[in-house]
Amino acid sequence: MATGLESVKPKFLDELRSIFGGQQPNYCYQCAKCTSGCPVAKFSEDFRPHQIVNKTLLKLEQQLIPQEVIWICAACHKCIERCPQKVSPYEVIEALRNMASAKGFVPAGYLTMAKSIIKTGLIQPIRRCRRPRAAEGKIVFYDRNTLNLPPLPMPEKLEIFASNLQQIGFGEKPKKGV
Amino acid sequence: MKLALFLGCVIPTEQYAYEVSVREVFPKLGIELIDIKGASCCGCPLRGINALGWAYLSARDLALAEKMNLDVLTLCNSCHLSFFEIKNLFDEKPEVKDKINLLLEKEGLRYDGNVKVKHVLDVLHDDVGVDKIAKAVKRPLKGLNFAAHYGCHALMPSGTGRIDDSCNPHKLEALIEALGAQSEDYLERLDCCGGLAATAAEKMVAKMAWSKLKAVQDHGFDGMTTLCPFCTKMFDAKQEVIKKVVGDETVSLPVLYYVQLLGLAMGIKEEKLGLDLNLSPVDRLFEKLEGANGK
Amino acid sequence: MKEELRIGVYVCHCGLNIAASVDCKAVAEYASKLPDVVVAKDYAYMCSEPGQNMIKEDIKNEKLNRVVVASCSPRMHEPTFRTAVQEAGLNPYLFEMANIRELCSWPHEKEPEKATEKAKELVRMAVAKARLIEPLEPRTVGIKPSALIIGGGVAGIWASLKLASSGFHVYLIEREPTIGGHMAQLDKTFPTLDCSACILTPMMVDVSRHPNITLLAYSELKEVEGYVGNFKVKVLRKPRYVDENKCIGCGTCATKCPVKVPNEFELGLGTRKAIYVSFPQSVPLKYTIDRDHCLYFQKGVCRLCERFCEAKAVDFTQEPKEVELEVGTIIVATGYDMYDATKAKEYGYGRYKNVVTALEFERITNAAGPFHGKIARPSNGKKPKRVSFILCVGSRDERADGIDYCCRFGCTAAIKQAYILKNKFGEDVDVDICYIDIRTFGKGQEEFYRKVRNMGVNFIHGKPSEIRELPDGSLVFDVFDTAANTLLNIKADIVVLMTGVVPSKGAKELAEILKVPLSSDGFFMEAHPKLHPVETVTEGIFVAGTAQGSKDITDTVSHAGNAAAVAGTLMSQGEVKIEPITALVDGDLCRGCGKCEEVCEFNAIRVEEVQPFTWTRVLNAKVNEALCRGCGVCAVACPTGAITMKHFTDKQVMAMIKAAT
Repeated sequence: MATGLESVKPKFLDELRSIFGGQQPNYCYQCAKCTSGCPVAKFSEDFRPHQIVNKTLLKLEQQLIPQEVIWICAACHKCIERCPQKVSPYEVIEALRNMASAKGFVPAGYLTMAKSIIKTGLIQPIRRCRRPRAAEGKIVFYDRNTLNLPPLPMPEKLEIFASNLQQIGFGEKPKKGV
Repeated sequence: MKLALFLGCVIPTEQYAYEVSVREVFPKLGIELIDIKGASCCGCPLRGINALGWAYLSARDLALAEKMNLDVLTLCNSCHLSFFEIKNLFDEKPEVKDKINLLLEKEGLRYDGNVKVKHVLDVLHDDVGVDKIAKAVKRPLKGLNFAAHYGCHALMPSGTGRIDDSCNPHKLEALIEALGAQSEDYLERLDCCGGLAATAAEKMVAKMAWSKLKAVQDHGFDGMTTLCPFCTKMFDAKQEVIKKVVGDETVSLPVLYYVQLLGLAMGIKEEKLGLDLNLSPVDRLFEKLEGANGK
Repeated sequence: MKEELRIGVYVCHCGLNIAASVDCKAVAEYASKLPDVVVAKDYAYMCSEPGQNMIKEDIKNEKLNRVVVASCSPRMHEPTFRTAVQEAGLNPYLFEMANIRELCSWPHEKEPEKATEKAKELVRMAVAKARLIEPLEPRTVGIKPSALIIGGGVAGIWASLKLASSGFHVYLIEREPTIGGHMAQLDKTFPTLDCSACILTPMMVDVSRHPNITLLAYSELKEVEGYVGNFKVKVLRKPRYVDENKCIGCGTCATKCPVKVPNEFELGLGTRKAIYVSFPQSVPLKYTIDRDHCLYFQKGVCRLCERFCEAKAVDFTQEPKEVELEVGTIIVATGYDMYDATKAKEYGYGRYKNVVTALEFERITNAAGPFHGKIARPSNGKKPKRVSFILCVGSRDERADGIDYCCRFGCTAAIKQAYILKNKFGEDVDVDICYIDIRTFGKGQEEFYRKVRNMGVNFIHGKPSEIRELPDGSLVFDVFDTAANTLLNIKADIVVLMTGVVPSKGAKELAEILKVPLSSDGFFMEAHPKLHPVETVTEGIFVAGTAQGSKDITDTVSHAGNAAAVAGTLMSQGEVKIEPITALVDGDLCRGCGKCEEVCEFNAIRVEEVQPFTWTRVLNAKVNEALCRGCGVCAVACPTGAITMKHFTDKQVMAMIKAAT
């Protein structure tokens, strides 16, 4: 079944470009240089940055926003380095991610990290690690405190910090599909 | 030299070895480190959730350093890139900078972009210098061959103050050679660790990291040296996990931060460099070194 | 007694170009009410014959003595209407144009009411000026029937032969020791597969033998003064340290010379001696000593060439010589250079031995090249099993080190080189062409592309991101083929980079000497890309071939022929009219300070001693009307306001400004 193309309604692309970043999908001429060098494309059959850019231009929203594929980019920035038209596929993908997050399509791990930042300023709490090469039969754990490192950095005016982030809309999970 | 130390998130909560080794080695090279009070995440892992939030977080950290009137030392490639990207974007879009400054004002902070941002690699190679480092070596790493792993964000994209050339970098190799070791070129030298996609695609990222580990091992390197906590988390802390996911038990490669290697060559004890914390078989290196130097 | 002004105003619809946003009837009505306007009409196409006739008849019947046409840009039709007005017996400079298209209807398409008001204003301004303009007479100057052609590549050679056969004298200067340019370096040319040197060298020989051509090779242009029909040029003849009149090109000197250096003609893939000719069919076939590597010049020893030269042609005492020429026209045919492939860092050119540029590959396949036609890997001299081409290296690239335009022949050149490989090795060689687009637009080119598709070449629609080198010198890269939707991994013995094309080195400096503008891409700017591709904005100076923009040999020859024809047409008229829009100095106000002379780029105004009365001499600025281009910079610089521009006097311009406000 063929996919219908939306009539020229600028809303999708306008929204994409309004997101803070350098994305310029319009200039793409599909040389696929980004995909040729993409480390993720080498290991994933689904991820093709030049296709994501092209689908964005054709405004095929349903093939992008609710999909997992826009979340597996490893942000290596090689596509920005190599693209001859300054399209910046990585920034197109980040903008799509922003739009997807605003609609509730976001992997849970990121929301956990965002919530942690609002509470503590960091993406995760102190992790307990297993000491390798411990004496025979023993399992020893350690963390920052047992290593006598200085206390964790933390925003001083935490309430203002948290309220600033909430004002921006950071860390909220709206209902899916809104 | 005095620098404001920015730790980011992963290092102070998980990749402790990097912090331990930097706090041990840098003062011995004449660099005083002052922690940035009240620092938070640089925001880069959450750029996909809310780009403005990312901008706020990075700008805030730079504003904190500006208040201290010191240049910033980042230990993480991604934090380094994030700070430069913010500077560039604020130059291009001053209206966003103004928006962020309105929020920062509430915390008594202001971003003006006057702070220089440095990374372990350029501080060691450009500021301290290869010669001074060679002079500080007490225990040359003779006979050892280390694969240099820069990590993508140290090199790309050009035009955002990246630390070395994106196609043919040489600074890390020069630093390794200053320790008396070798650092040959290898085909997969500039390959990505995949770390930043781990939240959404664990299995695929495991394959990416495994592919590089295997290539380095097959080439005959004694180990891999890294500069970034995301990369090191993949190659060192998750080496066993990766082996299980991919189903290859033959990979067994020592992976350590360059600063740890530097400390080793300076004659500092392993525990003071966090080398007792690396999950990859770094003890193999100690054996090789003892053998070479007849300790 | 001041004559009664009778102004005719004509408002053009230009079809819908103007009429779609400007209410032309309303503008004409408005114009009819302006003082001194006796005729005001609107019409669909003023530049057409009926439109022009309308003006001519009104001049006769209504006794008009000033004409204003509100239509397109003067750059389009000012000459048209001036001619029409002149044919009706009125001085052509009693005509004024109001641009209500490029300056009004086009930019303000979406606001018709405001556009119409603006059009009325523009007409009002034009009428204000029309009241004050005066008749002017163009000067006529003679044109010398000789041309200077700068650059001896195929464009310069072609234009020289055409002009010389038409009876004009041609001075062809070329900065290399031989003519031939890049075409002499190519192997077979598409789509006919003619051997490039074979079709070029006969023309080169014709140039050397033609009685009407003076060939000055190993020479450079230093200075140009003058104006159309009367250019005075200074050419520097560089010393070969070999007497051209005695050297017979036998080559004995080169066999004796002990110094070997990389040969520029072979792009460093082969060597030459310190005394050399670039290639065996060089024209003129005279040897040249490379001072920077000659043992005598560097260390004071050797002189073997001098000893063994039977014609006694070697002369170490030669000095550079300046030659002065007077010519009527100048044609710039300075050609192109290849884009510096080291800038495409990701492909490793310069780092990896087996990554070569397209031009280098031409020398590799060429039977007369450094490998004598044995197509081999530069690293080990062995036959390649796989050759991969990457198109658009540097071209169509918006990054800081890229060039944003297409070279026009990269696709066909790669397809031709693929043909040569497949024709020679058949299934024993794998050939890939990695492309963004395939542009085979010329005659016979699509057929050629089809033929090569049938030879088993892999056409991969995708561009590699980077190349890496294996220890044995092989090159590996990944490329995503969008057609097959597959990421391919390719291991090649040779990678050929089809690099883009940039203006020839020194184009910028030459443009300054000639005082002609360059386009934003650095090539010489044509007066109009469609209608005047060989003229520059300076009368008498033309451009031929790739100096104007990248193109293949077919288009270069057409372009050069056009340049020769236009230059020839000009010279055959024997004389040319010079626009009388020049600077005018009021001697009473001029105090001879010399600021005008300082700022004039064309050396058209000089402070001289004049004798306004028998008892006194003063310093006054004097305008050379033939050199003056009417740019107005002197008028701006003059501190006393002594200079005004004819047809753009201060009074006229002030009247326009007053009318606008």
